[in-house]
Amino acid sequence: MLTKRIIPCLDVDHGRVVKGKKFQDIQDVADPVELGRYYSDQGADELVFYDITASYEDRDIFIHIVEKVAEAIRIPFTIGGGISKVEDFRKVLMAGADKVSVNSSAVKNPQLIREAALRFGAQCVVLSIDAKRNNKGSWDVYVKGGRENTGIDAIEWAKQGQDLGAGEICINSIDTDGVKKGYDLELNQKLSRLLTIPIIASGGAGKMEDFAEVLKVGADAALAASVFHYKEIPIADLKNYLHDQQIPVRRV
Amino acid sequence: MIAIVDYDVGNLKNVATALGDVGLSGTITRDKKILDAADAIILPGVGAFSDAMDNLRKFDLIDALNDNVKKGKILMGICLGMQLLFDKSYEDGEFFGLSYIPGEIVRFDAPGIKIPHMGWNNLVINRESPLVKNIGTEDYVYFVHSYYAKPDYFDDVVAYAKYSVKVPAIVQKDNVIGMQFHPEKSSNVGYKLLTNFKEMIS
Repeated sequence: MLTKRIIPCLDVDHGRVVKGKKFQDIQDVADPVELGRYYSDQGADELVFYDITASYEDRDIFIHIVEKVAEAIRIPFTIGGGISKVEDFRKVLMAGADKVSVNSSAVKNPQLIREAALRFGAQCVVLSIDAKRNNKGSWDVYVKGGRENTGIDAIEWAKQGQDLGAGEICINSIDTDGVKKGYDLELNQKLSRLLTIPIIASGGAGKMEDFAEVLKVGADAALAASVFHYKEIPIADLKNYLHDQQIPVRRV
Repeated sequence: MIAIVDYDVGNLKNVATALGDVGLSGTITRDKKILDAADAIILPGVGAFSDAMDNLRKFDLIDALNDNVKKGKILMGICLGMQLLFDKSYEDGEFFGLSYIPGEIVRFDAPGIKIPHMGWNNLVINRESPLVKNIGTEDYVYFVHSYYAKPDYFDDVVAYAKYSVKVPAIVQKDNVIGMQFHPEKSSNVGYKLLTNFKEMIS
């Protein structure tokens, strides 16, 4: 039986893992390769590395980290951040990444999704969406690290992303991110019902119940950062808990 | 030495790295002489079926593969590489494959399932093979694919995973082997499978 996935997310700045709270207040946590290997050993199903380094010159440092991660771990991993051209896809895939996640750049140029899917296969194109509730009962797409509202409807954008060839949607709720009060269940449920590609829920995990809830409403995977980085929730314990909740998971 | 066929279908380094874990040395190549000299050949691959076949033709690799398979050399296809081992695929049209294993590649079409079949699924053993030594139904491997193999003879399936249908996960016909999932990304279980592969060729 296909299992639900647990995905630790590592934000990488200048070669080090950091975790932002509401995208601010960043604190250094660990070495990406070591932390990646640790999570893999603990039973993480995949890993996501986001390059949050602003400067273009530091890009090579990050590519080198991608290569080191690929040598060190034997589970799939996704690379995000700083991907704006098909050539950027090629670079990180050739460095050993399995998937590439696009966010703001795809909003700016939706054809990037199609071009990358045609060239490298839909399986490696993850459309990441930063969504925030508005007062009309729907969600808006934000870009630039959650600072700028595009006014685009998040659910429509997810659907369009699927039609353009994305293999997966990662939906990050700005309202719940860093607050640790649970994922946005309504948004994840809506997307899971509407789309035929897998959904990764992101933003809001604080306790083990939060993972169970979002996976039960239809998300195929749950992504989290700080609860793993600060060892508040050991992945093995989480998997056992989810198993007890009748949620199919892979336990190591 | 294991030849990893290089025909421009993504990163092959990860396969070579995982072979290294079990003490096998992988050479990424499209040189016929190296394919002939190899102890076994791995045909990896991601992307679209027709592009992959076009590239095998472009690099003039099909005869080399045919010759080695005829000689009895072990050939293992991974992911799309496994799908190429069959007669034909219906991915975006109708395209012929290498025809080492009778059967076709079709798209998942059950209502309500997510496509791609993406993530960790467990293996159910269909028949005995040294490939699945020490492998049981608690063993999960990493899949990512939207099309799956429908072999003419289900006995060519060594292990399958359940995803709306019985999805052939490991296939074998004589010296031709296929793995639909990614052993190089399947953690400890991938390691066990590659160890079994190593024992088969030594």
